Amino acid sequence: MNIQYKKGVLELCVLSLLKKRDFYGYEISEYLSKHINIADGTVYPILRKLKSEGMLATYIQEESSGPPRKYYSLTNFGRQSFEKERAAYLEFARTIEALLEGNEND
Amino acid sequence: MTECEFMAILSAELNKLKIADAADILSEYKQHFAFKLADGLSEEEIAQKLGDPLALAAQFGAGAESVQSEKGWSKLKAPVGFKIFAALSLVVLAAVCIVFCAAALAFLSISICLFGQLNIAGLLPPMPFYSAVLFAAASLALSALSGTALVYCFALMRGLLRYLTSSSKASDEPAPFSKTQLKLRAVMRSLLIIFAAFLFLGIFVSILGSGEPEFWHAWGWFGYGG
Repeated sequence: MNIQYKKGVLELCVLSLLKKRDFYGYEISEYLSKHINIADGTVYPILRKLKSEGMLATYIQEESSGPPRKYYSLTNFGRQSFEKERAAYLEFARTIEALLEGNEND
Repeated sequence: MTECEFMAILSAELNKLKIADAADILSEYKQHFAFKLADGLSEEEIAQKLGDPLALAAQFGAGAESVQSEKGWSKLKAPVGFKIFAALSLVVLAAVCIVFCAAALAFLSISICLFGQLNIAGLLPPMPFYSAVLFAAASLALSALSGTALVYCFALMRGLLRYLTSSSKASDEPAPFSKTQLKLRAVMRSLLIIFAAFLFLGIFVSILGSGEPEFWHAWGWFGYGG
């Protein structure tokens, strides 16, 4: 499937994951590549874009083992946008599905 | 492709595209390699799964274009003005730290004197022991509050110092509040409540004990000679 096509939806998936709790970059990358067939590296540009849009915030947390990790958390703005985008996407997806299945009522 | 090759290509391409915080981006990929290597994958496999570094660098460029132009504008103005402001705040914070330190020690000694009935040089007004204990507890809470505020100020100063000494490129944004700071704030709130509770309880008990709403008259404070 076309990568550009997937990318918009991937943003929604990242936001939906971060709604549950804070994660660090690698965890998010693992979660996405487990479910969706994309290159592992794709998630980092997405995280950066979401952060620059003010949807995500980051903080550094020291770990007992290994280097400190950069955690991503959903901002209030991100939470609100996610709820809106999610509803809009699900609505859109239902319409497309109906169109592609060819069972729209003319 | 090895890790070194992957990182070198990514780094060169990010620089070529003039993407800010390239070091930050590179460190994410470096950690990715570290995690995958720990899982037993080879560098080649990891690099292959990550995808083409040239394409990845381009994705960083495409996503952040509008933000970059904004940042370029703020870079002209913000760092100079903001850093002077931050440096001034540092001086003010240092003064506030000294005040909190003095307050913590003062309230602590008042509380010890009240608890122990140590009336040094007649500085403490006369009062029954039960009032003294309650006022001592209020003073102790105030002392702990000042102490916590002192620690909090130190944390703020450390954050500011880190901001001032770091390169302006990497830290355009002020550091977010750490979890410790949030915890300290919660502690300060509870201490304030404890202080207020003991103070009012002390006043209430003193009024009851002396039988007068203005109990300080009864006990002859402020030279009223009761």
